[in-house]
Amino acid sequence: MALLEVQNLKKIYSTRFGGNKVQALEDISFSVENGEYVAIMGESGSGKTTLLNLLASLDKPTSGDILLDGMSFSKIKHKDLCAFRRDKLGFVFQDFNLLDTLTLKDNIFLPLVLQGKSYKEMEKRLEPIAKRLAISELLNKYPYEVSGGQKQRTAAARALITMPKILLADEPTGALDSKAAAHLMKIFGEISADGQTILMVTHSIQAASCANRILFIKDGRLFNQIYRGDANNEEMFKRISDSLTVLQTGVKENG
Amino acid sequence: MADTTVKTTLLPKLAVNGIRKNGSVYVPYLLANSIAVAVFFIFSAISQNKLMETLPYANYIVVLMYIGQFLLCVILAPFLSSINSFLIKRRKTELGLYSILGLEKKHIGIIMTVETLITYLISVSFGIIIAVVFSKLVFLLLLNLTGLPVQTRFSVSPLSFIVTLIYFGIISLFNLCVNLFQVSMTNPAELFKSSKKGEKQPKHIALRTVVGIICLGGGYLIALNAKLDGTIFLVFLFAVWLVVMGTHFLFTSGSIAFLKSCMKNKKFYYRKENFITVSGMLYRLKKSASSLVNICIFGTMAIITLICTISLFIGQKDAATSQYPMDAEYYFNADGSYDTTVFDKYLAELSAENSVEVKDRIDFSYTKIAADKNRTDFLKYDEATSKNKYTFRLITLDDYNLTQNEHKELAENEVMIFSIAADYGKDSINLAGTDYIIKEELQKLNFVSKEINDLFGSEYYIIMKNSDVISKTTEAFGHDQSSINYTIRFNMQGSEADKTKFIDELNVKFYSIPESNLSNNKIAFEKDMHSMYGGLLFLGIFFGIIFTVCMVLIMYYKQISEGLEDKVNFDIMQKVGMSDREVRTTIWRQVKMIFFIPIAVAILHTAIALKIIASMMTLLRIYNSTLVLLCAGAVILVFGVFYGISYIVTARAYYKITVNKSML
Repeated sequence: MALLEVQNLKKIYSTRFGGNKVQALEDISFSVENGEYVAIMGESGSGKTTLLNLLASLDKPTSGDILLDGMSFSKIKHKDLCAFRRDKLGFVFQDFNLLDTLTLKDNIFLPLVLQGKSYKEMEKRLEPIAKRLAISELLNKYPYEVSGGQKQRTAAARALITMPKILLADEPTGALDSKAAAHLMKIFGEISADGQTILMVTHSIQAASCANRILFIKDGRLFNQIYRGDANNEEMFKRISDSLTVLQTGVKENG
Repeated sequence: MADTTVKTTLLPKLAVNGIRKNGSVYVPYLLANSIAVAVFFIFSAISQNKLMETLPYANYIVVLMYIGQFLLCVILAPFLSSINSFLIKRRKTELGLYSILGLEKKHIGIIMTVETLITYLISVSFGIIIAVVFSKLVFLLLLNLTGLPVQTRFSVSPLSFIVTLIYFGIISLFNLCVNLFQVSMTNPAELFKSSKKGEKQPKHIALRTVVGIICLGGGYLIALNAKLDGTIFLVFLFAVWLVVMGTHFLFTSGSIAFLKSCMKNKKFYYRKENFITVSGMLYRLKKSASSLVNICIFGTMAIITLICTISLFIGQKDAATSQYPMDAEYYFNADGSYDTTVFDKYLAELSAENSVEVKDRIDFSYTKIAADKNRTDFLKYDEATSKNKYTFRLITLDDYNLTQNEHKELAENEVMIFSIAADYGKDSINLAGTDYIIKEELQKLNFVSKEINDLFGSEYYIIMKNSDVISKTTEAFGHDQSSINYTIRFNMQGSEADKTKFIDELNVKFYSIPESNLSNNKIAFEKDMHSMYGGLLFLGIFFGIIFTVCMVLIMYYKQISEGLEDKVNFDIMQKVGMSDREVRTTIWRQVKMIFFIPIAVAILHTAIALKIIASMMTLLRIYNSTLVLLCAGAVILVFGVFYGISYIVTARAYYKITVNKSML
């Protein structure tokens, strides 16, 4: 069975008084296997972020369902949702979302503290992750004292330390310079190689070309998908840009 | 050409918009400014008022109003400047945007000048309007508090307008200069960023904490151990200074040191309940310690000002009775005894004329002696060498028995002693070489009061067998017969006006008697006290208001800036896996703690200060420390309730900012 199954997901936003309705997701179904590294691409307004919010259980679909490890999101009670999110999912956001009140180390510990883990356990988990993400030296600094790339790696460490079933990343390279972005993608590749399932929404072809599979979304529907197969990153880059060209010219024809 | 239209229309418009868009910060600022203007104007109007010159006993009030105006200047100017710098910091992004959109520095300067002009005009005109509308009421309150005859004629002198306009004009001008300087020193990109600066780690935390502990501890020790002597006011001011410094250091560094040590304890820190709270408090304290110090100091000042002035006002009746146990005292120069018939004739005539009943009339003679206390003995007093001056009033047993309605007896070597302050407490007394047995230590004399709390009092009444013993003692102390005084004292019954008129007329007659020396009466003293202590209470109330306004304003701005930051934190914590409720409860708990620490510390400061305050009060003849304590309790209670209310009101600004975006 797949780790994550998305079944006929549909999301309609309506204004408060029921006037305008916006169909953000029409009908999306796909599944993600354990250990897969999936990138979701699409234009602005194609529904990527909506999809991610639904996957993150931050929002509820209008219809359809999401199953993680066979457990249906719609069956989780509202009050358990927080704990569920904290324990099963890890997040990396475009704007880092680190708390300025905490050192990098404490930012990383935050979900573990919320889980009630012992300090020893936290330390034990932190060490390899910090090493892998190259932030061991920075742990006692505050977020406003380090660079964007370092912040994003810290955010990744925070997401990974709970050993989530799936790592959700929303434009993780969006606020980074190319060098920091490349570094982060390299690390994502390594984590994926270790068996971590990753689902990443991105604009960047560079970032997406590191993934094993790329889903293209257009107007709230799954438009196309590419598997890596044996292709290396350069070949992937080319295939992705070709697909995007098709995706965008398609918009023109429709328009 | 284009430039002139920009200058005449666009820039003023931008200035007006700048104020309107930032209404949530400018409205409280304008309001506080107006209140400051109003209070300043009222003080000035009262002191400039011609009416005050004609009212009896009003000279204290004029002096007090001048002092009030001066203190107000000293307190308000730095406060308003600090608020100004807070405002300009918040506006920097907007001003940076203007300059990116193509406005030159001089244009921004014009905008800021227009803004300052607008805020100045609004606050001054609004403040003066409030003041003029309420001036009559305030004036009546003052007359009422000071016991002056109620006058409805109260006109405002033009000088008050001018002084107020100039004073607040200078403050605004100064603030404008600071703002212009700040903006001209930074480039647009910096202007754009400067409101998002991270907090730097404060330096030398441990050292500053130690200094803070020493200052605060020293201040507390001094306040608790202060001895009542001539330097007590200086000692008090020194203690206040130490406590202010100590509070400052402990809030800015001590609290941080404490929280850091909490963080070092991993078992304690890395627990769900403590983790967010401790780190959040640390962050908040780093950012807002200085505002908290200000809130705390303003709070303490308001509380102590009110305690002092209210207990003085309530205690003034007791103070008058303690000073004058009997309504009127007349002193005559007399060698030995004096024929009272002339004075008694005047007394009888005038009391009948004014329908005042004279009661409890007593007369006695006494000899006043200055002595130097040398360990247990009392020796001859020498101006040049003596250090411990004591005063004795020697009275014969006959006079004592007559005035007190007693039938006591004394041997030649026996005396009775009465201390105006703490008991003498020994069995014998050595007066210039002669030992006397103290037969009895008296606790009460009907013509003088005993105040056990009066630590300054070094005055004894000594009852001796007869005038021979007294003259022997007098000679031994090196005094001659001219030290003998004769006094007549009595109480009065009748209406206030009759009594005043009676005393005035009696005084005229009294001073026509050749032997007359001095007269005192309770009525004049009470009026003096009433006008002085009432005036002080009046000042106290207004300063209490000013301090409180300052405090609430700081609180409000604190809430706004906290709210803006917490809004971001709310989101992040939820994304990381805290539920909405958890986030709210932890953050709101921190906000509450941050706001209730200052009042708690202010109350602690007040409690420590009570002892020294009570001893200072004895200098103003308020010996009733229970009264001071009760006043303190009441003031703290009222102030605490008020603080709570202002917290709730200002917290609404905070909730408004954070709640909108907290739902995902």
